[in-house]
Amino acid sequence: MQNNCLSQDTSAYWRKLLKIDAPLPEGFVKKTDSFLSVFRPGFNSFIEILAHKLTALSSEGAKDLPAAPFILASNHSSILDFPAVFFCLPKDLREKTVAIYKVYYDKNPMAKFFIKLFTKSLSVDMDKKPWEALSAAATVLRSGYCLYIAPEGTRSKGGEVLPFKPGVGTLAVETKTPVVPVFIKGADKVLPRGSFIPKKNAIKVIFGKAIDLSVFFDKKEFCPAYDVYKEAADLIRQRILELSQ
Amino acid sequence: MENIENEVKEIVSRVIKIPVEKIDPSADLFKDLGVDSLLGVEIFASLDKKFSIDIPENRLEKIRTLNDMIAIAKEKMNAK
Repeated sequence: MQNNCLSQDTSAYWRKLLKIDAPLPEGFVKKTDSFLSVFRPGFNSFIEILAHKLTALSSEGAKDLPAAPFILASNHSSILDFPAVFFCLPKDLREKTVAIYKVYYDKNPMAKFFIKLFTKSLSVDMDKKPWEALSAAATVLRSGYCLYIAPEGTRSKGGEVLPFKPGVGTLAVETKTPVVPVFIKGADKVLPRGSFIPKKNAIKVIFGKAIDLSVFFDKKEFCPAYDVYKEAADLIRQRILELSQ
Repeated sequence: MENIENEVKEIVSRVIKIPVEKIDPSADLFKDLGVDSLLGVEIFASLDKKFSIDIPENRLEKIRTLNDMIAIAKEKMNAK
């Protein structure tokens, strides 16, 4: 097939940057964890009880989640989003999930401490080094672990779901990993952006069915790869919006 | 060398969908022209395809302007 838009080359270039065909580095996921993990069971049990008491945390669809690895992609309106999703996951999947967060939080020792205490995690700089960020994320998936991503890239205000960054599309399409759309309802009422004191409100986490992105694997043979990644990201966003209704 | 310059301009223009004459060669593509980092990778992939130049990962983040892209294409072609 005529390839005027170089999409196959972009895809091949991404595969090189993501190191998808390279051998798996040993113990990569272990390095996403810290010594604070020894305190994790006690800390998380306490937070989980608190979360259920303060937010009547509930979920839908968790029983139908596929086996790891997959990408959990959610809307993002509060720092409580990941904890809410995490506590709604079956316990075996919690152990198999790594969260991605902005490198910006590494500058805040308190935030970094709690993230590392809470879960396995990776800080990424999608603005300056997207290839490093996505390569690390791809390695997590290739190691058989799930990945939690908030593709809006920042917390929204007023419950709006912002446009998604195409990186989630790149990652899902190039690693051929299913994406589970997740809608988090009410977290922005408990602890919205700019607020430090939580308010009492119910939080519900709705897990959708895993999205089959295989249509995009072939599409990138004849469409600009960037457009395909963006389209995949838009589809994921669309599925999350559908869960909100 | 002028040919390389024109080809790089043409590639960048096509990927970011802005006419060549409207791209300031010294403008930061990412900050000033709103090119996102993934579209940046699309440019690098296209340069790699056109000139068979393998830009080391540690240099990618330092390439910010059209002039930077022309310079690295010329440098890599000269080294061949």
